[in-house]
Amino acid sequence: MFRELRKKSFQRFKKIETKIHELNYLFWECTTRCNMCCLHCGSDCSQNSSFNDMPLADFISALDTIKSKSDNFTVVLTGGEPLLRKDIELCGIEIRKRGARWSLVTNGFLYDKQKHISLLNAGLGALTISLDGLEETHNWLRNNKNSFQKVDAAICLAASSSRLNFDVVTCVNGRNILELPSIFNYLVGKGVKAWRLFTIVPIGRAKNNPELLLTDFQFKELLDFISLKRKLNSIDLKFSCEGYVGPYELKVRDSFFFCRAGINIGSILIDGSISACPNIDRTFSQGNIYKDNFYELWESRFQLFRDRTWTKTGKCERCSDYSLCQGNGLHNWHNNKKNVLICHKEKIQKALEC
Amino acid sequence: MGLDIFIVGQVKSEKTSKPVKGIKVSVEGKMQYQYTDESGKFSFYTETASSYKIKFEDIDADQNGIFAGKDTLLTNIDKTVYLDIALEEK
Repeated sequence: MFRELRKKSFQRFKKIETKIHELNYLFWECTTRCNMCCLHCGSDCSQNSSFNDMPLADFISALDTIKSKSDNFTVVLTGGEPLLRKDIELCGIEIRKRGARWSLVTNGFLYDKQKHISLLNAGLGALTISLDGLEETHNWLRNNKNSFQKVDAAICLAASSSRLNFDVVTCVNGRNILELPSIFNYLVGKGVKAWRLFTIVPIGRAKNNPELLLTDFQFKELLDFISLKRKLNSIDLKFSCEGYVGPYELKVRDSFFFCRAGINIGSILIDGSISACPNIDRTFSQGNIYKDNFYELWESRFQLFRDRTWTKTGKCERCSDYSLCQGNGLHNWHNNKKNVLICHKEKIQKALEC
Repeated sequence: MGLDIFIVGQVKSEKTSKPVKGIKVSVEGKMQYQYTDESGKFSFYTETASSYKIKFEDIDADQNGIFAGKDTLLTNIDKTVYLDIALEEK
């Protein structure tokens, strides 16, 4: 009864949030260069990116179109590997000058003590570091034999800062799923406060590597693991916002599933394209900062994100949970947008039937 | 996201009033530090606290002159503080 009321009230909340569509997170794909060649990269990033880094001034011009920022407005620098930019601290300082917070998503390879200090000096407020397993597995997925050693040092530094809102993210796959309890112990031992778990979407390099994708049964195991460990309260562990998980809703996250792409989350991509989360198919782009006023466009377009009735097609068409899920995370829609790529609820159902 | 304050300022020689480069500016008990630039300027964000002891140290031997260290105690800082620091030449 209480859960049903909570569900209804959350659906009303979603409607209001969508109507207001306050921009809280702005991802900036500031580079597509990367110092790694991860097996699961959804963006096919490499050291030889075909794009030049976006000049800071170009991004700032777009940021300056936002005249009134929300209290928790944050610019998230992502890539590629953002720490490859020599001017990363300057980027942060210019963002802070405009009254915004900034954060960073990194593989941790270049995050040493000096970089930690210079980023804090530049007003870094939050940090996400990717860790994909214990040493052997992390190095395999990251395609680099020194990767774990570097990320371990980065995690120690980040966890030592009481000011940083720091979390670790892990892409769970067929090889590291059995290591999750050990990774959990490792992170708790390092004093990490928050851990987010993702699965790998079969796009980019990952689509040709079945070992990276979870079977239905493994996916259910993952949710069982999260649900169990959350009860211990030793770390803020959660399943990412990637999809609706039916019977596991509220067991693996603090709130019901809500894909906020284009509602509270926008992005400026490497070529100036304006979209929502950077992992969403590029055909969802709403415009370009080199032609459009970013904030005017945020206010006037994004209908695909704010009215999701178009997702009621393919396997979503007759789904009994559609009103709660609304087409799953939008990064699961590709090409002709006729069917959802992954249905998490279906995976759970299939696993339960086994 | 953790709250922080912005500390910004300039270090000059007490004797000549000229900017001093290479002075290490840090908050006592914190890992963060920064060196003053050619114009003696420094700026950094640090986490909010009820008081701060800002330390100014000349650690580059006689490269930019030799100056005595100085500590400045700050209390009741809201968001930003500007510090004009004069260091005594040894």
